[in-house]
Amino acid sequence: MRPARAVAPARPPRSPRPAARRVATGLAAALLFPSLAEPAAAQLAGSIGVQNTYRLRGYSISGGHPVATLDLYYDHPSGIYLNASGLGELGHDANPEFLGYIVNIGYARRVGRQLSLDGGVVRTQFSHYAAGRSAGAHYTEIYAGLAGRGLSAHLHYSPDYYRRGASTLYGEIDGALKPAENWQLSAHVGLLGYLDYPGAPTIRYRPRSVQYDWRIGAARQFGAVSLHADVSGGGPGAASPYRASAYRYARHQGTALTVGANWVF
Amino acid sequence: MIDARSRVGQLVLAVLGVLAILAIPSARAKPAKGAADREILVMLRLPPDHYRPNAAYGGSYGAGLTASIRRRVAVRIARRNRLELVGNGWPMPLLGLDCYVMRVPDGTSVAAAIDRVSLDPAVSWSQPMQVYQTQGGGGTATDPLFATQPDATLWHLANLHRIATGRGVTVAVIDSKVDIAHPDLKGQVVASENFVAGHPSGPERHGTGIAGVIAARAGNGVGIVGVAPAARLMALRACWQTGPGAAPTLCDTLSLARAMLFAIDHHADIINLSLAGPDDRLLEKLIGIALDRRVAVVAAFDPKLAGGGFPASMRGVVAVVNQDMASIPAGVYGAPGRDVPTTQPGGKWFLVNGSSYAAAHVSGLLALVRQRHGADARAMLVAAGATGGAIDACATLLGAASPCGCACTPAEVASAGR
Repeated sequence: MRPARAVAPARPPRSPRPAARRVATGLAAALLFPSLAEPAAAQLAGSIGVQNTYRLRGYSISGGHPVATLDLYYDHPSGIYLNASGLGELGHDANPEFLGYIVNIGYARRVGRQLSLDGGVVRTQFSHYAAGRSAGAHYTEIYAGLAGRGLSAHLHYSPDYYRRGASTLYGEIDGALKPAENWQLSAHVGLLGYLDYPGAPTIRYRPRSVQYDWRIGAARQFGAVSLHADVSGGGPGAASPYRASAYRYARHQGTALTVGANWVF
Repeated sequence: MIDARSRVGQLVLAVLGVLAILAIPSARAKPAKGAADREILVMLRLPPDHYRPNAAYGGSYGAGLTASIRRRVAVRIARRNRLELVGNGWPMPLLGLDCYVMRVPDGTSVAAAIDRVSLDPAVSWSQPMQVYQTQGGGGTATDPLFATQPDATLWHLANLHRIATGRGVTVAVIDSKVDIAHPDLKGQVVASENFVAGHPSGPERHGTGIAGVIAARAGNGVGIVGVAPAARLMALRACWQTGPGAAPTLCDTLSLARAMLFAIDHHADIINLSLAGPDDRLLEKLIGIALDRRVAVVAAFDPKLAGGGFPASMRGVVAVVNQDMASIPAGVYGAPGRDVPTTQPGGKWFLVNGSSYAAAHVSGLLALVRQRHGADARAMLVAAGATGGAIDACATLLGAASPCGCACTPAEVASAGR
């Protein structure tokens, strides 16, 4: 009788390496050595863009002046993703000005063949130039949402929406469809509500308790380059130009056309 | 002054945009003749859709941006593996994959290129772009319309239609282009899509013939009667006719996969694949999903290929051959496939032969069974042998326990059907 043998070949024991540590290592490597870190199907890319204005939630951040953007994207196979965006204004006083940055970390997981869940944290920081005050302006949001079949819906909560103690909920729905190869149409609606605002109702200039914004757009892709045009707007309009937000250029709200180009590298 | 400068800046941007449109060639270059032989499919992981904070109002652009990012990754993969990226990717959330076509340069073997790119850590897998051939001998322009359908006598079609006509059942015909304006097919097609790139065509013979066998209209005073005349068709062009007369009709992995995905996404009950070729990992996965969803998949068996060719060789797929074949292999079903009158482009009818049309008969029969018995139709084919052979259509439709089998009179059929 022959002795029984293990089916699996003998291998030296592997040192335990928790998944979280592997993820952290991968992310750190990706951020520090982007050219070396694309292991195990991680996806890293960036884009540079120019456009005639930069609008966020119905308001112009750049006062209607042209803007350059730099974005970095990282998707790890574990589902963790990172995004970072830098914004610079090009067309004011002939001197480029730093407007701010947006950074985000999140986790996405496919829960069905056509549906994914995701959640994360996003930090939006505008410079003193963009905010029109020395301290700048910023907010942090946590969010969660669903995406699939060209539609997505997300709910954001901020405990400090441009002001310490000003808590908000922001819900948004985005849709996209491809009417033809290399073409894309998209639409967005969002609704922001203040849960709390320090000093209200005695404070003189407080934002509207509920605000909405929308956008429709079209884009055409040419390989790594895409051109896009959007019409966006928001409301309700504020009686004072500076009432509604912390932006220097808050008066540039209302409906506007945005056109621009992006190059993904 | 500032406003004027701003407007100048916007104008410059707009001009640059127009110049970019004119100057940048489209990414979808037309493939050179014969280049398809050197194309491979490279599968990348498709990350789940997720939020991008700068996508809504920034220069980047939501889902379009995500596609651009994935394409950029594919460009890098192609570059480091000395391949040429062809066109844009094809995301398949159903499989969690993003499929890219890449061309292998001359002087490198396709197999070696696949081995190499498969080792790339960013690649899930790679495979050749396979070619499939439909399994029907074409009628010729001189063939007259033959008034008697084999299934009218072999399958007692009129009797079957007393019990079921395929109402409420959708059959996806993944084939060449169907003539949806044909008088025998008018109103039968609920979706007509083209998944073939680079082979523009009007209606084609094979697809039109298959559609007619399955669901040609009944009682309209012209032509033939389909096996399931009340069924509805998805006419999904994934194959192309390579020439006139008996020139073969071909398909490739990508066009078939796209059509399969459409059929699955749009809830086809039955998928007819009257074609055969080599094993294919991508198609196998998609057919597996279809079978999991209780979609019946019918394929033509090609005795010249090992195992009858793919997809007939795949477990769960109903493999069908012309029942006039001298010896029907175990596990394969036989159905009428000789001298079959059916629809042809231009409002004509011709006689056709081949296992393609046998498979179409079975797709039609399964539509009848689906109407009568629901989604468990795959397990209900009754044939001469325990694991295959010539199908007994009447027994299949009525159930094996029917006392009359194929000898049913109309009255018995009606009685058994109640």
